[in-house]
Amino acid sequence: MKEELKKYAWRKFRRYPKTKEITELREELWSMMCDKFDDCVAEGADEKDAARQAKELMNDCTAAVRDVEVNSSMGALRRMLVGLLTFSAAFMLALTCVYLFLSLVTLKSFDKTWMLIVAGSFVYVVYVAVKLYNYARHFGFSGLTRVAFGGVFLSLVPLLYVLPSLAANVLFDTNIWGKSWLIVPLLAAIWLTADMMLFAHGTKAFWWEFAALGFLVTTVIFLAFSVFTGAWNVSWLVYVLYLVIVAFAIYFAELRKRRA
Amino acid sequence: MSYSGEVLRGHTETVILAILRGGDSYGYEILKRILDAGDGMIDIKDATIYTAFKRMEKDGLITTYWGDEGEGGARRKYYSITDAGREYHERKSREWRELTVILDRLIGGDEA
Repeated sequence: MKEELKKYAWRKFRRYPKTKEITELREELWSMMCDKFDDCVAEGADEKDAARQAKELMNDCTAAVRDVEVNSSMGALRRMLVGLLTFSAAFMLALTCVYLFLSLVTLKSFDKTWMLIVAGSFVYVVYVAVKLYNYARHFGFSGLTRVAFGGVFLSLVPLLYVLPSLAANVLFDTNIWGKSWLIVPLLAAIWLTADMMLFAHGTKAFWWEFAALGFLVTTVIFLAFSVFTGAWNVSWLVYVLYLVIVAFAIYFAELRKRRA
Repeated sequence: MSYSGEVLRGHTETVILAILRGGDSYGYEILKRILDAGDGMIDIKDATIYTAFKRMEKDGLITTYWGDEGEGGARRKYYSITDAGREYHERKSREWRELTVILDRLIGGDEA
């Protein structure tokens, strides 16, 4: 059973970098679990129940890990940055090699192969954003997690909007910039919805939900109006109207709160 | 009635130091002594205890050493109080006694 507890503790810590402080914390929490297990058995609990109670000690280990991280001069963050730097060097080197091979050997032209570097850079930006988000989430830095979550969506803009439009332009001589930008409000709508579901709790939740829902409704109106009338060049004004409504709603709510 | 570890906020260090004045101890034993002394009315998390240990170690109030491997290979980390820790405990105990007298006078309610 102790072996099972060990596996449980190790599993709980598998996503964290193995800095000295975090490894020590894992060792100590595991020993506390073993003590708790022995204590419960001594008091008459069966092994299964004792293991369950021992595992409960690990319930809030994220708080302990975060505290260790903050008090150890962000050792895990530094380790992550070093890892990221190493990965960046290897990634850029590999990308350059593929680019040169494609340009010099396969296509014997540098005419359009620069697209590969652009694509690789955009993928890299997404990778960095996801790494930062994972770090913040694993260590329970709630504010940073929320910002990094938005950062992931922001990093998707070049990959999902700029790259396809550029590729269509350069490789197929087709201009889709006029319509491909729609991916940006779509991404923003998905981000707002996801953010609202994951993070919007507490006093500001109402306004956040109000703004997100309003944005979704505005996007639906915008798309429906534009598709049916073909007036794409005018219909974007609906977003301006949306912003004005939100601004007024917040202003009057604040005014009412102050008067109360 | 049950109280969360919040009621100990600001006093966790003093409580731990009071326990360590009686001799070196390890995480679970300290946690258990706090829970037992609370007659089951205090629900303190191990993370709170661990955070306090790290802070106290950093401030030089306690020192640590690892014990031998037990059954299954787990090693206990032992904590012992330093001279600075004793001084800190005495000062905080004195402050606590003074504060309780004042609070008794303010909140007491016996005379009301």
